[in-house]
Amino acid sequence: MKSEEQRRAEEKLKELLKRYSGLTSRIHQGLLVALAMQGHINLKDILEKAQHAVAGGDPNRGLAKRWGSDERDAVHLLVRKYAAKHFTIDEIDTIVESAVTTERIRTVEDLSKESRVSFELIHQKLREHTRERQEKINAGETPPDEPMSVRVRLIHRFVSDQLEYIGVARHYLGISDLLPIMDRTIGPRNSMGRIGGKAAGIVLAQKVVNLHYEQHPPPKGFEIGLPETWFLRSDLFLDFIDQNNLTHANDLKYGPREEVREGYPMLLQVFKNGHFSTYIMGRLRALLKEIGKHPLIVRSSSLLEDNFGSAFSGKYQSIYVANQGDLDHRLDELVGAIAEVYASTLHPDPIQYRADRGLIDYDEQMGIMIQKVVGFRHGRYFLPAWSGVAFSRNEWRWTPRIKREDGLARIVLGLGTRAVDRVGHDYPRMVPLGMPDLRPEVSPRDIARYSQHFADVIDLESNRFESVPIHNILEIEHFPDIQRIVSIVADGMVHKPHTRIIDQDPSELLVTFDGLLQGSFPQVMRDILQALEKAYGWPMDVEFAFDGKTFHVLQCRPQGQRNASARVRIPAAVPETKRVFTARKYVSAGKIENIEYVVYIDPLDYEKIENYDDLVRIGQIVSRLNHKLEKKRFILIGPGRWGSDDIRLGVRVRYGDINRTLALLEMARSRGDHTPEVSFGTHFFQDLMEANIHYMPLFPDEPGVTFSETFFRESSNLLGEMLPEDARFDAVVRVLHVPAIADGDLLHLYMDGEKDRALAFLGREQSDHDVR
Amino acid sequence: MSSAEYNPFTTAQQQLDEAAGKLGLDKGTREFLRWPMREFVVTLPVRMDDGKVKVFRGYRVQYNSARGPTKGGLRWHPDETIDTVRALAAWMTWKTAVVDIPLGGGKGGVTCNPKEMSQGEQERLARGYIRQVGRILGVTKDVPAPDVYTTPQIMAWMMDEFEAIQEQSHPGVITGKPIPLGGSQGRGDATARGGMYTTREAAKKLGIELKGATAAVQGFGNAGQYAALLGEEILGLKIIAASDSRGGVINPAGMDAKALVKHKLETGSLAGFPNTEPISNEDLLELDCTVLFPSALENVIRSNNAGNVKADIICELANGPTTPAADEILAKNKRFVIPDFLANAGGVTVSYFEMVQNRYNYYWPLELVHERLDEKMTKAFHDVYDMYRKEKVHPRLAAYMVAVRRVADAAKLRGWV
Repeated sequence: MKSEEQRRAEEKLKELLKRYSGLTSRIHQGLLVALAMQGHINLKDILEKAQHAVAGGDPNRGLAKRWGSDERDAVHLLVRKYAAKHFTIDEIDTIVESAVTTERIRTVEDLSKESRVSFELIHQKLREHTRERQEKINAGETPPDEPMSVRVRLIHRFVSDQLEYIGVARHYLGISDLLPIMDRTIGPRNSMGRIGGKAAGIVLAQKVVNLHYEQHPPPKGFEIGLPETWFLRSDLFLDFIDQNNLTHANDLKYGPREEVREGYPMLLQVFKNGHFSTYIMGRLRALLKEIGKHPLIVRSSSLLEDNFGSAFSGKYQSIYVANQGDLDHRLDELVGAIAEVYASTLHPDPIQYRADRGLIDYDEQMGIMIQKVVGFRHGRYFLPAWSGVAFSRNEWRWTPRIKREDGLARIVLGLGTRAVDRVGHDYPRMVPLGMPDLRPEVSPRDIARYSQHFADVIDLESNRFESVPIHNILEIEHFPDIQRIVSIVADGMVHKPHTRIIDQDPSELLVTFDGLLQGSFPQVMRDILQALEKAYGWPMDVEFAFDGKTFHVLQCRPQGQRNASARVRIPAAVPETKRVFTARKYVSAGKIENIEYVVYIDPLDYEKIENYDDLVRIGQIVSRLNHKLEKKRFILIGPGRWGSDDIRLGVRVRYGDINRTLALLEMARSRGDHTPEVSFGTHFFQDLMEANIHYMPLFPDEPGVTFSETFFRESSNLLGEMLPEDARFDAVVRVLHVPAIADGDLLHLYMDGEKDRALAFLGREQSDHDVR
Repeated sequence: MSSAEYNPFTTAQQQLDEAAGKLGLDKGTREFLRWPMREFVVTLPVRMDDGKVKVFRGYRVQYNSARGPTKGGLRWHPDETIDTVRALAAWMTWKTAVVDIPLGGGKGGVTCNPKEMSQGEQERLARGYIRQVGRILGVTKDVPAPDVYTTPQIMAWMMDEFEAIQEQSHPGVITGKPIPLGGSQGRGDATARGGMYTTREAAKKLGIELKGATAAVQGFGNAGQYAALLGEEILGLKIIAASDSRGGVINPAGMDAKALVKHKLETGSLAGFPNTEPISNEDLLELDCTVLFPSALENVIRSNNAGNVKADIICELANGPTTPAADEILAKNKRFVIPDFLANAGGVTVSYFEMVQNRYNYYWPLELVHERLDEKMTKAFHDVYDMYRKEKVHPRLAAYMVAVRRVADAAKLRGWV
């Protein structure tokens, strides 16, 4: 006898099968799996029973290799019977809904696998999927888990094809998360492409940061947002190439380097005069209408960009568009900027970079992000109150008190370009996020000198990106957040404003961010970086900006090679005879390969110099060698504090005397129980930072440290040949030509910041290194 | 000069010996003046931000108090040693004596690296120092001031700690305070301004017209910038060249000092100042000009370039820009050197004014500070110049002789030696 409940269950099942008549197989399959999983049936029994039923009890009929419709119907019948017996109406409902939804997603997945399927169709399927999930959530139900394989396919199809990225993103990006991005995507109607590396980074960062703040609400008054962004898919780039007959241009990358360089200006013009289809122009026009006259940044987002291990940081262009004037003019400006970013795929620098990394044959395609510039109008300028870049690992530590894991931020007033790029003689505020009020400058004069004097802005009157003196900006009243940005220099002191800034002479204001750094910003920044690093399992960097109200994360990417401490590993199998020196203290991560020359100032011989003029002369010799070797790959090694005003502590040089070296190594040789301090924290150190010159102290007399006296003191010295008039200093200054000494080998310096170990060794030329 | 063996205190003693020899000082007095009278070494535990305690070593040397309470800066530096502090305390003794202010010489320091310390840690160190050293400080005993890596803010914390211990107002215990806490007007440019007054007096004596005459400034930090501004304003000099650590600029027709300082402050360097050519630091020293202001580094005028220096007056705003061998060459070539501890004594003189104003708790307007500084510097210059003429020694030795004689006189009158 069937129970009343069983009958109702049968009725429900019948009703659902009727409703989803196209999906009966999928529904039966779902029920069968659920019955087996919960132990109500044994799959083998069911199959046997079904076969028995089909054969009608005839033992000679044999087992069918494949199910025919008879067998399937028999199985379905049994499944319905058991399901009605073992499941409640609600359970049946849930299982069927799950099967139906999965089928829908699988359809999306299948569509996404097909290259001929258009973006529009996938977009539509995603909308349906998202709507259904939302309806469930609204009804208080928990939507079923999304199959990981579907996420992966979609991410691969639409966001990024980089496996490392997908490996991370699949844990964070749900299928529904892709919809808002698709809603803001522009590309050809009938093809499919990706949004590219940079866009992928920001999309994932947004999700990770949001999840983090769902669990740990940000401090009061700290609102975190992302700038409004639109995406141009990589297939639009291909479309542009086709439309404008530029296919041949791609072959330029295989030409000789000079040809690439010489041909580029012409190529750029050709690109800039290119056009899009009427459909795309219509989309862009509609976009500009929607945005209004708000400045924009057109950022490259190529498929190779911002991937693990090869951050194409700054290799492709990002272009600010003032976006002022009438709509036709604005459209023209925007299209010109997009075309210029497209052209930058063929710029000689990235081509060289790709050639060096074996990526020249990769079919590089360019996606684009169009972001509203975070900021406000201030007088004739448009700019954020402050912005910058932050790294989850801090490789610039001038004291052991600063921990690598606490991260580092470089902050500027105005647009972040000044913090991201290194601008000679102008300085962002460098913030070790664990000890934010430490700074390498102490005296008010040095604080003033090593601060920001110019700000990057968009000039809305001249429609140009410009760098203007800070005072030009501060003399316009009511700059947002000024209390946290500036300090007052007066009376030999630099101090935070004690009150609201009233009638302050702009020339007495200094950009220090002291107020900002005493608030919650360093902690917020550190939390974001740590959440991102945890998600990616890799050191990360982010760009950020504050518009006076909201803190925005603008960009997020794996920390570049120079900073990626985890990646530099010291080769274990270097024979003793090839080891030149090692270090075990204050090592920042980095790799300098193919060093051809070493300029070595012998600390012990330097110390023996009695005559002051001779000590001064050593600095001048270094300066001349710096000039003579400027096109070569060389490093400088010498005693104590390079650049110290006290000539007894180290060679007297200024930044301009050493600016072509790849690395500056300071040797501290023990005299009895005294080892001199090295350069950490000097101004010099900050200049090195800005010039990307690697710095490391060497303590050759400490236990466990290798230092080949033979290599440095007994190898033949080129000083007399290079600077004949200074030949008498050849005991102190040794210019070593590595291949001549080491039988054609070059010197390679590997620095493992994580383990605080460095090794310089002799070996054959390495092919993968940054070109000078 | 081997870097391992160099000891600044030995150098200070040699300078004293030379002056004492010329003065014919008796052996007992000479020996007394060769050493600090009192040295105080303290151990300072400080609770760091991470909760751990770090122990610092601090010093205060009261070199000689025959002429009054000792006076001298507090240095926070990782390389600080008792010998550096001793040497600097001796130089302070001669400096206060040469400008004839009623003070002795002292110096203090803490071996620490402020670049590695947060503001909170610096404040705790400053207060800890006063809790230990405060017992030998006071407006009638010993008065510190800012020096290497110590700032008016640190002075303010120290004064506050001292007053908390004493339970009464004691602004004069420390100078270089921020103005709202009893600092003096006119401290910012005092060093350069004092140098200008001595230059003016030197020109009078040498019969040189300074109005429209040319000047070069080596080093463009605080002292150098004010030298350019005040050289133009007070002396009517035409600044034709200036340099900083990144190199210099020259325009023989002269440069607008205000615009030059503005350019330096805005761009961080002198390079690129309109209508100028670049010039190296070395070449600047050898320019044909009336006044040269070495304002940055020590030992820039040496035996190998002193012969090429063409300036009539060399006003040493920096400490120790000329080596002893160069002094002899300059003297022979009739280049007149206003020695550092006279030329840059304007700073300590205004510190003395700060003490005076703190004591009677009535504050002078800026003009009065300038007037009294002029008076002190002018008198000091003439005292040194008279000695230079009478004894036919180079100006630096003359200045030492004036100073050492004054300290020796005071010690004798007290019956100490």
